[in-house]
Amino acid sequence: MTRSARMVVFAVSAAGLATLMAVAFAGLPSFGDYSGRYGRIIAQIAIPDRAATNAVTFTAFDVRGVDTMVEEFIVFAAAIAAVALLRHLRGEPEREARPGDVLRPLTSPAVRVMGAALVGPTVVIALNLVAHGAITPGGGFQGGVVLAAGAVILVAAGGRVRLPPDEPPLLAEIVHGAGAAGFVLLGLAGLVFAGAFLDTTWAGHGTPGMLLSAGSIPLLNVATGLEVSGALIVIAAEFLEQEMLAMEPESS
Amino acid sequence: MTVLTYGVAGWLFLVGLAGIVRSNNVIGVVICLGVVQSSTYVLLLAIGYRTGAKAPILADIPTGTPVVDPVVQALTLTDVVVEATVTAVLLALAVQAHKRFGSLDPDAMTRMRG
Repeated sequence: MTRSARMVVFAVSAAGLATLMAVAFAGLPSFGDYSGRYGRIIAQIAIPDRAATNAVTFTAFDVRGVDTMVEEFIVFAAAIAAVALLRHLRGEPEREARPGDVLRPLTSPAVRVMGAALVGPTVVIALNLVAHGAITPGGGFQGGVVLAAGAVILVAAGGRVRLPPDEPPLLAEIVHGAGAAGFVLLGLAGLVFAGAFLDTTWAGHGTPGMLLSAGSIPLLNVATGLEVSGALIVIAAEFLEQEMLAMEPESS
Repeated sequence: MTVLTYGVAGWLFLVGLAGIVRSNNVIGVVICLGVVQSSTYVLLLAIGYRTGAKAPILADIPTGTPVVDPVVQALTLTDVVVEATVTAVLLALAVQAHKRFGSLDPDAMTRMRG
């Protein structure tokens, strides 16, 4: 099918879809009027029941904790998929990497200074987001992404990358495995100490707004932060490896 | 107002879909898929909005203040995570496809190889 024919087919079906969406939107509660029962209940019980002041994190890690566990496994699976997809193919030319092969930095000194200056604050922000997930906006997913961004800044602005980049970084692999396992173990701790899988009340109540409050929700956030940052670093490293395979090394 | 707000979600969905259909580069397809998925964020957040309500951070507001729905916000978080992982896997597929076919044009990827 040619591209123009495809666009015609698309235009017809898009018009139909747009009509259906208009009908569907007309049946939704009008904007600003929604008052879902679950949302109201969660806002009411978050502080008295769990001492969690961030109702979104309370929803994600307590009310639907099992769902978030599976979501974490999605990230885990994506990292494994990236490693599996970006492996060396049979018949793909192997570039001989000599020991001591070093890729020269392609970045200017200004970029490198800026990068070095940004890494520290990025990591601090990431730890802050993870630690206060149950109190203020943030949490394991957000903090984990920012933490991985710190590693990406380091590589993007950084000096030399040593060849051969043969395997995913071991530390990141361990961290993302530990994060996924930690979430399940914290769930099992709920089963053992509180009687239900992913029950978060066993770790104590605490004062709302304090760092150690909201039961095991902060711990679950730490596990998620480890998992997400490790997985994203593995994915980024795999893409970096592809980039470096396409690059001609200079021998130092 | 209602039509306009939900219309943004519908428009993002359709415009992203149009981008996927007319794209001649799989990287473009992945980016357009991101646009399609962002329509779901807009829709979810628009549904949960309550006029005059505060953000669902209960730290600094008096007890009982109406807040926007935290359930849809948590769902949006899930949505963002799924989009990020889908993008990563699709880009990895794009890299491999480029190695196989020497091109990123989806129309050039119809050949089968035994």
